[in-house]
Formats: sequence, C-alpha cells, structure tokens
Amino acid sequence: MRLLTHNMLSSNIKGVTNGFPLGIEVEKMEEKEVEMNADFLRNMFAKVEWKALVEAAKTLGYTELPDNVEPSMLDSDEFLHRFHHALLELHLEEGALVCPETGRKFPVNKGIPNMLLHEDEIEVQVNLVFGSSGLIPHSTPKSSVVKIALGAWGGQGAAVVAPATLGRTIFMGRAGARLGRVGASRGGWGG
Amino acid sequence: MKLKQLESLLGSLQQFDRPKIELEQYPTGPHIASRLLYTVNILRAENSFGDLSDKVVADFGCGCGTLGLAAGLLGAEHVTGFDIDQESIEIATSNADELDLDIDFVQCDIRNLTLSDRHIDTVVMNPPFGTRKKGADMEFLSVALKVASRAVYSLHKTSTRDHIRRTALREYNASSAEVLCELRFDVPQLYKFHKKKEVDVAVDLWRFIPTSNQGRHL
Repeated sequence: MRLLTHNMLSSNIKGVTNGFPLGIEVEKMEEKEVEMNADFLRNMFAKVEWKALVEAAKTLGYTELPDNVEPSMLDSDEFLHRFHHALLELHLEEGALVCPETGRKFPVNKGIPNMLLHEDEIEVQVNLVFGSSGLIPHSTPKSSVVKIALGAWGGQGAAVVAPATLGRTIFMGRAGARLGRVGASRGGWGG
Repeated sequence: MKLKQLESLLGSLQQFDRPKIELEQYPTGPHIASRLLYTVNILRAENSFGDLSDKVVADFGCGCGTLGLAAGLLGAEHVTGFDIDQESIEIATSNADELDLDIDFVQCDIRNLTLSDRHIDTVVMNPPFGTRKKGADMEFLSVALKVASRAVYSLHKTSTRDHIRRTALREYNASSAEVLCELRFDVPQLYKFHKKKEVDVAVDLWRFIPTSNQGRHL
C-alpha cells in the first residue's frame, strides 16, 4: 500500500471523532520504483495532508521530506523527487494501521489493509426517516425494530432504521397495512 | 493504448473462483464481451472527458479488479481498489501482477468507509445491482459522489434509470447525471435460483459529476 492510499484513509469506528491520520506499525516495507509525473505531483500537493505524509514516511524510514512546505517548493526538482518517492514509491507491506483515538489495529497483510469493522464498532446511523406524522429520527437494535415501530407509532405510520451493518432501511407507510411487508423484510435480515 | 490491446489484456484476467451470491459477485469471465464493452465504453468516455489519465482513481467493489486495472492501463497515475471480499482482492492482486500494474487494494465495506473527499478524482464501479440486496448500488453511488472530485462512472440496471437519475441529482447532489450508453450484461447461470440458463440484463453506463466540482474542468 502506497502512502497516497494511507493519506486518504481514516478510522471509522463508532464514536471516533478524529480518525485521521492512521498510525502505522511496520513489519515489512518495500520500495517500488515508478516514473515521476511532475504535473501529477503539483496537482496532488494541494490535496495531500502534508503532515500525515511526513509522519508516515518517517515511520517507513524515509526522513527526507521537509516538515514545512510551500507551493514554491514545487519548482525544485529535488523536492518533487522526494515528494514522489514518499507518496508513490514507499509501500507498507506487512504491519498495521492504527486508529489514532482508540488504538484499534487494522492489520495489513501483503500490502492490503483490512479496514472491516467488527459489529460493535459500526456506527448505527440515526437517519431521518419519514412517516405520515413527519420526520422521526430513530435507531434501534434489529431484534426490537418491528415491535417498537408498531408500538410507538402504530396507526400513525412510522419508519425505523436497521443497524448500519444491515445497511437497510425499512419504510412503513400506514402501520397495519404494511405489517406483512415488515415481516417479510425481517426474514431477509438473517444473513 | 489501442483498444484491441486493452481487450486482449483484460480478456486474460482471472475471475471469481467461487462467486458469493450475498455480494452479488457475477464473474464476466466466460462472457468477456460484456465486460469488454464496459471497458471500451469507459475508454471512449475517457477520450472525451479525460477523467482517467494522470488521475487518482478509486474502484468501488472492485471484485477481480477489471475496471481499476483498465483505468491503470489507460494511464491513471494511481488506482486504489476497494472490496469487502478478501478472495476477490487476492485475485485482483494477482491480476495486477500479471499486467505489471502497481495498484493498491483496501479490504472494507464501502458503506462504512471514511475516505478523504479531496484525493480521489474519479470513481469507477460496477456495483452490486441490488437484485439480492435492495438499494446496494445506491449506497455505493452515494459514497462515490461524496468522495470523487471529478466524475463517477457506474453501471446500473436500465430498469432503474429514472430512480437513479432522480436520486443522484436530488439526494446525492450530483450536478449532472448522464447515461453514456445502454449495454447488455449477460449473466450466466451461476446460482441455483437462476431458472433460465442465461439472462440478459440491460444496464446503463452512467457518468455523474459531483456538485462541488461543477464547472471546474469544463
């Protein structure tokens, strides 16, 4: 994994407010030479989180990037080469990315970070969902979805958000009329 | 790169060994024509819009990597492929090696991903069409339009065209949503629930432009 990819990733664990930048633990790194494209680098300069790139490069053992930069440096061939090397040629092969807030490690094997979250790390999105009575923000564990929906807003019509793991929102129009549909949807959540 | 050269390179790629229905993995291996059509059309689009050359490209739900690799072959400066399935990424990695392309992969659930909205110029994707899991393609599109700064190329079933356009423009803040062409995706009989031997699905190749970038590259 290049540091360009590292520079665009953040930790997305539930409750984490600033998941960037991810720390790096290195077991193995590699350098792979690629041709330099100066125009690309000039374009990327404004987009890259510089401090995070400098720190990441240092972790991989490359200390030639200046801590402070300004656009005029892009006129320097030497600077472009260093930027190019750090951004595109350094690879984290084995190790981990580390959430800066929780310390949770995302393992990196064969250059591929595994950013999959455990079930309890996934943000349950509190979506605004509409029923006939207006907007009802609601989130709830899946086992209680149907019961709550009917109990709290039966007759009114309500909608409930399933946990984000399921990535599915059930819209109920007038409750009662849609009972059968909810039941059917529920069956589909098993997986 | 010439079209024929690209076709033959992509035609040699390895596809899913054991496709997973829950992820709607449809290998296009024995049906190279359909896959090539996509790529060919993306190539045409590339020629007119310049969304790949020297750009940072993300392939969402990259599967065996075909679209991301095509982007790499067509001159993308950097490509990152995102997929939830480890086996697919392994195949994609060996496909990248085969083509001598240096491409990054990240194993993740697109829906639970926090990605920078500045680094990525263009998202290319062949998302799950949502036939097994309703709305899956729209979840992909929603994220893609948040992170891409330049364009999103995506395939969706033609039968959902109006819904896609409306949702992209109204809810996902796309400034433009254009069907570049309609294609036939021949889905081979892979899973038990397939009754017919082969099904032809009409799909659209879309090009979306995220709002924040309206006019920037016109």
